[in-house]
Amino acid sequence: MSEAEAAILEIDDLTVTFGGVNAIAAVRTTVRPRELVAVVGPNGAGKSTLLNAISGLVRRQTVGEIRFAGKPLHTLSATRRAVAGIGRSFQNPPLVDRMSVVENVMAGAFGVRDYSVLDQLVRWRKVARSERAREQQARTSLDFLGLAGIADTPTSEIAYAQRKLVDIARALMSEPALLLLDEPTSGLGRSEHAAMADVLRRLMEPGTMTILMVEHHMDLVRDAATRVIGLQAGEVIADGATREVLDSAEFQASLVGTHHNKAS
Amino acid sequence: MNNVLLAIFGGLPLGATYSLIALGMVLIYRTTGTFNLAHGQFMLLGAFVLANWQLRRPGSFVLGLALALIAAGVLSALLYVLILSRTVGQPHWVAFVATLVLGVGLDAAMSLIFDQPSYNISIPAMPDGVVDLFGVKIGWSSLVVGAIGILLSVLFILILRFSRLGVQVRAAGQDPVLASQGGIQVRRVYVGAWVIGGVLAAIAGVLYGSSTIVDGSMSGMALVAVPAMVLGGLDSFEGAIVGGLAIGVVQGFITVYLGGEYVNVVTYSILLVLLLALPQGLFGTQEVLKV
Amino acid sequence: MTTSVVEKPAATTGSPVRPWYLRMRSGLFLAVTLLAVTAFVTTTQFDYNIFLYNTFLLTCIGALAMNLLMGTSGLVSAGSAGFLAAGAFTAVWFDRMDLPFVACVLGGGLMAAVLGLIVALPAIRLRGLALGLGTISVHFVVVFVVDQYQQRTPGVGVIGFNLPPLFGTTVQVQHEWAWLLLGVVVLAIALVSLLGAGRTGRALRLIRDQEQIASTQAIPVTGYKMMIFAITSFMFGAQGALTGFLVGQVSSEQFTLMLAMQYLAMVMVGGLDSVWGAALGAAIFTALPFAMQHLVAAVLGAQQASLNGAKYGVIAYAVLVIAFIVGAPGGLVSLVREGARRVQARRSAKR
Repeated sequence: MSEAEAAILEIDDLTVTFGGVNAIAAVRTTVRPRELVAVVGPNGAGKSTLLNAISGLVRRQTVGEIRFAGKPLHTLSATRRAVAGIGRSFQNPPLVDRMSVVENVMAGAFGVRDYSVLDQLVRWRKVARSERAREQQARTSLDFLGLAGIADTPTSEIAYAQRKLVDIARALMSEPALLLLDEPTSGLGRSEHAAMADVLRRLMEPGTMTILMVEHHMDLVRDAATRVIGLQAGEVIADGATREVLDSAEFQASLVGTHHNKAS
Repeated sequence: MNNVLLAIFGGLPLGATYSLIALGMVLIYRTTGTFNLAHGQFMLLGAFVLANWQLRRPGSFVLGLALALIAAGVLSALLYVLILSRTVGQPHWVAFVATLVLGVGLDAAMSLIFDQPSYNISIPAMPDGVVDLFGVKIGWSSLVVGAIGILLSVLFILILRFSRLGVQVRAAGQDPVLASQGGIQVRRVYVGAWVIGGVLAAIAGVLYGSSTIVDGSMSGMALVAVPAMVLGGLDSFEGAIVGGLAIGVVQGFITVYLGGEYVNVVTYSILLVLLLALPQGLFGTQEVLKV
Repeated sequence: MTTSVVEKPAATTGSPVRPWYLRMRSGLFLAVTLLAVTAFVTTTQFDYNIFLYNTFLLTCIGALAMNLLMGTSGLVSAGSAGFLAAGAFTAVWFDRMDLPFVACVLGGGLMAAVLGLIVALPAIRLRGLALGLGTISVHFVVVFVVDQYQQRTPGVGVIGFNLPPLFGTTVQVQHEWAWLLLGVVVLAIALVSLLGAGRTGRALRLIRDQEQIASTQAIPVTGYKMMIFAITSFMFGAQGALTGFLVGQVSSEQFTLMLAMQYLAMVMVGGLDSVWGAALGAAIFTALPFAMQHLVAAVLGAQQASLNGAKYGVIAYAVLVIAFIVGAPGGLVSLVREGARRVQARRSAKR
């Protein structure tokens, strides 16, 4: 992890304005490969907005520069950003209830354009082969997250914690270089927390993944994150190695609405 | 110049009618979030009931009017309670299709009940004849109808803004959970909104019907109130009045300068342009139509 | 690629991979069923009934298109009548230029598709309610244009344009139409089923249910909406052209907002995102006017039936749609599935 290694994500002077109010203001930061960066801060600090800006969901309201692996990202549409290698999970998992779990996960691989719409109409064997491979990949992904048992269940019938994991499984399908996670543990109970922490550990283990994660639960942040960015009222108030930031006096003082759990 | 005046004077009474309809639709939209495409049928029912009453019992206008308003209000409440309140969980367009279909069904049902080819409404003490305004001949009744319509619309807005009921309506529409915690009976407000909306439409029907004849085609007018609503801003009451009058005048101009058959296509092209360029209309809040 | 995270499973994958064509099965089943029904109808029914069956087949095309548009992709459109009109009038226009039947039908479809793109292109940015309103506007514009065409074209009768009979005046006309239309409907089923499967189907459903984030899954949302609009408009256009040839007469008054609503209603009653739902909806709405005629005649007498039968039909249609919206929003197919599930549950409970 040398200083010379190129950053995977550079955010420069990013401002997002809704109806005259800055949700995030002049945010400047860098994410380097293989880091797990946690974005923390009180409610309304702009954490989700930051992720949305990186995903490209609020382009009209955004000014500033974002570079991904050296190339400009802010000029790309959300679709192109996903193709470029940015994966995303959401606070409230946006799944398709009337599809099965495995179908929802397979949907995440859309950007891997292995066959076209025209192919679907005429080249059935090619499509069949691709679909089988894709389904295998999806089931493997579900296995990895411990969800093999619900793979064929209609998504409307699974538990909330499982929905969060399916959302992440879907995000992994395109093998993103940068994974954006929006409050992966929100709405989860104690044991599900631990499971999620385990998932994060295993995601980082091979050393191919970079994660930028919005999180409220400080124990998870302390456990999994290599770096912490603190946001308050849309501005970056802290940015550095996990322990440094979390232990600093100013940061402790600014914590409102976050969870301390020393007995984890 | 004559033509311009003709267009305006012809369009204003029409616009006043649209305003009353649009006001009712905005009220319903802001409280229950439903886009009521069956509104024209409330208008038609009010007109039919009064006209039918006047046919059988000429001379008791007030009673007939009361019946008409009650009928429209009751129908409106029933529609909400029995049908629309049950579409709450589903995507927006389900209610859209539901009211569209209801409208068509009500049209058919009413044409079975009120089976004369056309009816007439006469409002007592309505002046007859034609007046000459700046060189343009205009029927007195049209003028009076227009004036009453505008007056009622403004009155409605004042009540909404300054009365306790009005405040409750706006609160319930904005945040029903918070409103009910503040002691407002949200469901009652919803039903009330539908009733008032229906009554407004019935008044519009009576007013408009008195200046022309009453037949099944009247319900198609309410669909034109949609561009009026969008122009004014889907969730703005003041916008409904402005939008209604504006569309009325525009239609007046179209009729005078292009001819009656162009009215629909121009009006709806305006709607399309609005949806694309200015979906929040003149006075609506941003993001009211998720575009 | 080989260092991908997902290749390090915590447990082995024991689950079988399902055949990819699973979603296609019901389409195949429907096609076979319609084949059997067509064979039955053409061999046992007399001409008028076969004609009615043909109108049902035509309605199926639109219902299938609507199912793909609204059921799978979530795009609400009240513009169906406009696209039907575009197809019918293009067929008339091509026919007046002495182009052959196939050209007229394909031309009708293409014209409707182009129209669908041009007009939908700006409207694509709209969602849900706004899209529905936008398509209502489209309806009025299109109907206006075809009406003007009808008014200004010389030699048009009061009742509109005439199209030449397709199979001549032989006795077997309706039979031949039935098989032709069956072929078209089978193609439509295949198209809708294929598009509703695989990665396209998943993308469309994500656009339907979670449009705001679909782009983060690399789905080109606008492009796909345009594609679906073009394809479904093509289907409606082809249907309009074919109908013109079957009935022999095309007039602008045929294309009303009410007609457009019927297509909305039939997929809602039949069941959204289901080819069987589309076919069932089409069947119900084809049969409804006749059923009502008979019912009214039986209950209120023949005179009422001939005078007001149509109106009772409209009321019945409205009641039907509302009943389903309120009571069974998933349509008939969901009722059937629920019924099957209950039977299944009862059976396994008994064991």
